[in-house]
Amino acid sequence: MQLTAEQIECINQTLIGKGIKFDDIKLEVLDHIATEIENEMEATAKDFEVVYNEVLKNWSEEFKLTKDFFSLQSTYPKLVHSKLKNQLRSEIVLALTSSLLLIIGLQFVDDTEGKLQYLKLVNDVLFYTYCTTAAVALLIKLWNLKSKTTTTYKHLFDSRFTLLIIFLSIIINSSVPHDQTNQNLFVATISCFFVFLLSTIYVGMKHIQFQRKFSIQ
Amino acid sequence: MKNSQLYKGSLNTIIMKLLEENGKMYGYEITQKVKSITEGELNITEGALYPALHKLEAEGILDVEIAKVDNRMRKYYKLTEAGEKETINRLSELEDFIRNMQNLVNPKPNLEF
Repeated sequence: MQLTAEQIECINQTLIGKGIKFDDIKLEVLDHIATEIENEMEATAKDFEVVYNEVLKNWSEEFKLTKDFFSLQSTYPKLVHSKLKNQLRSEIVLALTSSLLLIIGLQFVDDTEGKLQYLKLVNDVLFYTYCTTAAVALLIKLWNLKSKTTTTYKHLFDSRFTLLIIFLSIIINSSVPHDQTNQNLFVATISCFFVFLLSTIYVGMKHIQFQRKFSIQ
Repeated sequence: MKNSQLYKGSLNTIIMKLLEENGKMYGYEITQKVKSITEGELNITEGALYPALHKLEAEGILDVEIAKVDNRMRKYYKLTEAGEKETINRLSELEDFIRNMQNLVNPKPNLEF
């Protein structure tokens, strides 16, 4: 038994009301609920309203609002929160691993002059990465202005884009002291920033990828 | 199902195995397939399935395809090339685990004196 367009829209509005506003998640939750309702209606011959309420009850746990892991101001339904947390977790792992590798690399340089050169190299790589990333991020931002879909990737990209602009002032402004007295800390900070830049582009590209797949249909 | 905790650690491998066998599947289909294979003994909840699918997608093990079905969009999951290789490794690990558990639960009689 196929649901009508009105019944699908009813589920859609319920999901939006519950805070499932990101298309990448809403799309599959809507399909899951609709398929479950269709199968249940076929098996039990119950009305849409009855089955709809029964099925939604099973999802209530996933719609519970959960405090955002990295922004104390926002709350998301559990399902959305877990997807955002997944992304953050892999970034933290990557940032810690790369920091560790760069710090280990620094220990292999014996003399002070060599260490300074190593730090300058890391700094230069970051500067050029930043310039490239900022340009790509700006293009993605402009592309996103036309985008009608909202995804978890776009949400992450937009929040990072603001941070990217703040970092721009720090990097370009030579009056801001770049503390290199604690070399390990300096290398670790640079490394974390590097991962942050690349992950900004990654989430931006993932949004474009989703948007393309979505709009083909 | 009596104790879902026993299956928890194997959920990702179960999903990967199903996708290896069926090519591409959508969320509801996965839950129903597991239910039917285990004759209703294992019921994957939405709260366990989707975070697992999203995690596998973030790790590059799964890829997503979107298709219009009836009057709505449907998101299909399929294994990536890296995912196919990873499935072989994880299945082998799971088989070792099952073998070890069998040995622990039903130890073979020791014939050595």
